[in-house]
Formats: sequence, C-alpha cells, structure tokens
Amino acid sequence: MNEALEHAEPLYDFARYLTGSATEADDLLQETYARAVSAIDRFERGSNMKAWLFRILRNAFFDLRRREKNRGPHFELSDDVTVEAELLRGDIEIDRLKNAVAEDIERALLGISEEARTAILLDLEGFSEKEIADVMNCAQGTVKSRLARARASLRAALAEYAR
Amino acid sequence: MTDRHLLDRETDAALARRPRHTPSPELLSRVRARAKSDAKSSRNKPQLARFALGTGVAALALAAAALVHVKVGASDQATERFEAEAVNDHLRILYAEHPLDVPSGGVHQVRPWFEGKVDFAPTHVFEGDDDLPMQGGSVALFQDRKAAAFVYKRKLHLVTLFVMRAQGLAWPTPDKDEGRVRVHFGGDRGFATVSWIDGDLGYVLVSDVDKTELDGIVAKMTR
Repeated sequence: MNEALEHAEPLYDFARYLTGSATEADDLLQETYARAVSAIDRFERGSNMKAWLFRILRNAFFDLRRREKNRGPHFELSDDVTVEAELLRGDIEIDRLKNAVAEDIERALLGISEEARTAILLDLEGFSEKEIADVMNCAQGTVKSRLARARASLRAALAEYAR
Repeated sequence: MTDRHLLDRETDAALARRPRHTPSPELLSRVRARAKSDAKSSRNKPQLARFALGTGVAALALAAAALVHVKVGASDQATERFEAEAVNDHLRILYAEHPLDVPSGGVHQVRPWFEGKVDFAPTHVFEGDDDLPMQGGSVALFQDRKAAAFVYKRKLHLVTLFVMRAQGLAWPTPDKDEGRVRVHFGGDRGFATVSWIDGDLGYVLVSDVDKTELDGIVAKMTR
C-alpha cells in the first residue's frame, strides 16, 4: 500500500477535475483507497499501479454520478466541423491558447465532457495509450483520435468562454 | 493555415498552466491512516470477517487480538478501547466479503430477522430515508456480546449502527443532549463514533462522513 499512497496527489488532482468539487474529490480519494485495499489481491504485480488506481477512482466517480444529472455545458466537437475548417481558425485559436490563463484552462476543462476531460488528464499524467485505454475501458486504437477530439473540445470551450 | 501539430502543441502548453490541486495534509493523513488500517484488517479478514454463533473462545481471542492499542497517556483508556472496538467492528463489515447477512427490504424486514439471532429486540432503530437508505443488517460481536448491526449508506460512505445490551460495558460518558438521549461523540483513526444508551440497550454509530453530515445523521438516529 505504500506504493499506492505515493500516487495520492495526482489522484486527488484527477478527482478534482472529474468532480469539480473539493468535497467530492476528498470523498473520491478516500473511496478509491478503500476499494484499492479491498481489491489488492486482484492487482497484477508488475503492472502499472498508478493506472490501476486511476481506473478505480474513475469507476468510483461513475458510481457517485450514477443517479445525478450531468453538470454544466459540454462542448463536443460537432461531426460537421471538418479538419479544414478547424485549421482555418487555427491562428485565432493559437492566440487564444497563448493568452489563456490558468483559470480559463480550468474552466474550459470542467466544461467539456467527462470522457474528453479524462483523456486529456490521463495524457497529461504521462500514461501510455495502452494505459489510457485500460483506464477508460476503450480500445487502444481509439485513444489517439479521442485525444485529438478532446483537445478540439477544449479549444471550443475556450472559444465559447472568450465570447 | 495553421499546422495541426502546432495547435496541439499550444493546447498542451496551455494545459500545463492549469491549476494543480493537491490534497490537504489532513486528508492525506486520513487516507494514509485508513489505508494502513484497512490493509491490516484485510490481512486478518479470513479470521475476522464474520463472527457467527458458536465461534466461542477462538472468536473472542481473535477479537481481543484485533483491538487497537490504547494511546499512551490517555486519561480515559476504557473509552478509547470502546471506540477502537466500534471502529474495528465497522471495518469488519466494510471489508467483509459478504458484509450483510440480510439485505434491506426496509427496517420492517431487517429488524425481525434478528429474532433468535441476538438475545434482545433492537428498538428505536432508524428505518432509513432517501438520503440515508438502510442497506441491511448483520450480527456483529462487540467486545463480549452479540450486537445487531444496521448498515446505511450516505453517498459513498457507510454508516453502521450497532445495537446491543448496554449492561456490563464501559460506556463513554455522554456529554451532549440529542433528541431523547444523551450522546458521546468520539472517534478513532479518522472514523467518528457516537454512542448512547436508551433504556436497556446501547447504540454505537460509526462512520467517516464529515462532521456536518454526522450531526444530521445522529439527529435522525436519536429522534
């Protein structure tokens, strides 16, 4: 469990961005470790414990949200938006990204879908595509496209807040 | 046109500026303490998970061995042992493979189930509500006697109410009026314990919900 406890800080950061709430993040972190102890016999030695814990936390988050409505607006990249159209907006977006302050980034992250937010946060934590796929319970081949869409959603959210 | 890679690079640069949230030292301490305690309870699980009738001397010996050591220099060692026992019993339910002997169909199903399994009738048991639904019950061993354990859930937290015969146990001194009874608030290893006596029966509530939630739960339990 000592090794597991080393990951408490990134786990908490992830929990804060998942929930948007310090209180719920506190609860989630405690619940994650409680579940981890309970399931420690099922942890495969030699595999990535950090990824395992992130997966537990995400599942606990889903249990928490199961009966709650989705919060906040979600900015999903429309299927109608073509890559070419996005590139044409690129210069404006570059400027917006460079000028975005920390609070803007946080607000935008909290405004996109949980799935997009999770993909981005796991990538920022340095997980491989395989590990991201394990945590998100998706096919490894879809991770790259999920990340691309997630980044685009984030930029759309920033654009929305900039209006 | 702007290169997609440049866009992604700038996006990642912006993301690197996002606020990083860190857990408070208190939360970390709570997590560490509970994780270590849970790991210890988990190792002993095959022996300590359930105390059914007939386990006798062996069960009592194991229960005694599982008691947390008393704080050095504590003024009320009996109270600390009492609270440590309550938390241990709560943890046994929390981490047992089959924590509930009877799943809940409401208090009117759970409470009658205890007939013949404990030598008293659990009364004044909160039936549960939408915010604090009853999950079920099980027979627990509290120090030297059987207790009826009623398990509730508040969001992701379990709340256990142990009901037992009060006589012969060193109950903590009550220090606060709550409904029709006087209660004692205590705790051990990050878990809160609340105990009171009502007639011949004693009640001990154990949970790790935060203080504001706990006050509301106690008010419901002691009405």
